[in-house]
Amino acid sequence: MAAQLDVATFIASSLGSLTLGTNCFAGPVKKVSTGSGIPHTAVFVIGTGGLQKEAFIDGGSKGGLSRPTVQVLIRSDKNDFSGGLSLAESVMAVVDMGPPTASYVESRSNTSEPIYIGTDDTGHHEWSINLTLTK
Amino acid sequence: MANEILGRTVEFLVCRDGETLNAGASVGKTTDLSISMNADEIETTSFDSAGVRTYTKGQRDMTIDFSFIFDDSGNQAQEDIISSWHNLAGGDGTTAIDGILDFSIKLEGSSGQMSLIGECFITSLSYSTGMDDVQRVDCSARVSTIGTYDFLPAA
Repeated sequence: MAAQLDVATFIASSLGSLTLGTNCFAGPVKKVSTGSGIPHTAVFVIGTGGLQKEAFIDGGSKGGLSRPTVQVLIRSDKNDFSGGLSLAESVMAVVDMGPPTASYVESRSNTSEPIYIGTDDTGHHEWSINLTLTK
Repeated sequence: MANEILGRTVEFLVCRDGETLNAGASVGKTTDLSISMNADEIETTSFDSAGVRTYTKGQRDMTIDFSFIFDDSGNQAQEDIISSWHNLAGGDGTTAIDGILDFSIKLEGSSGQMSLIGECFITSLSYSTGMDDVQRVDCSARVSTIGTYDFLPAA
């Protein structure tokens, strides 16, 4: 399973306010859409590749230590900075040093706190958490 | 077609002395492997050497240095290596006298012809862990017996 889906599933299962596929998504940011049920407040997890796999010397097998990276983007309700920040901090508390499944050894944020990246073109505040996972 | 041999192709097996070097003896998760072969040089300079030192070849020896990521799933070869430093029973509960290990290194993989097979014992074991890294073990081994020394590929 791709790291972005593992992390999104883990976040949704760890925070009661989030549900996978409803307001927590594995994939790129979706615009708010009443018709499609995409809410203002939402979390998106997108894979960003990661580091080169550390291959093992093991008879030519393709085994190795992987370090995939993902970006977690937290979007606030419109003009709700404090609510968005609170959600971003909750997500950070879950994913930093919190491997999403038993297949992972570690999950580390590259920063100590979520990165505020400003507002989108409709006034939603956004934060980013960049994770490096080890599996 | 490339004529070079890929590094990760090497098959590296270790087990307790007298046990079987089968697939279960694969060290696995090996990240570095180096083999060092040395020969003593004996100086034979005499008054007849016209001021130029002369030498003859002396005794040879061999060491193996390798590193692996510690595998907490019951990797028998890794347990044999770690426990042999203190002459303790290895992964299969078998105690080998003086911590002697059997080893097999096949540079071209299991089907290849370039192989080094013999016995060794651990002379250095370094267990390290970094904050954000997995736990790693660095080892040095002295080769005590060389059974097969075939470093040249088939013609």
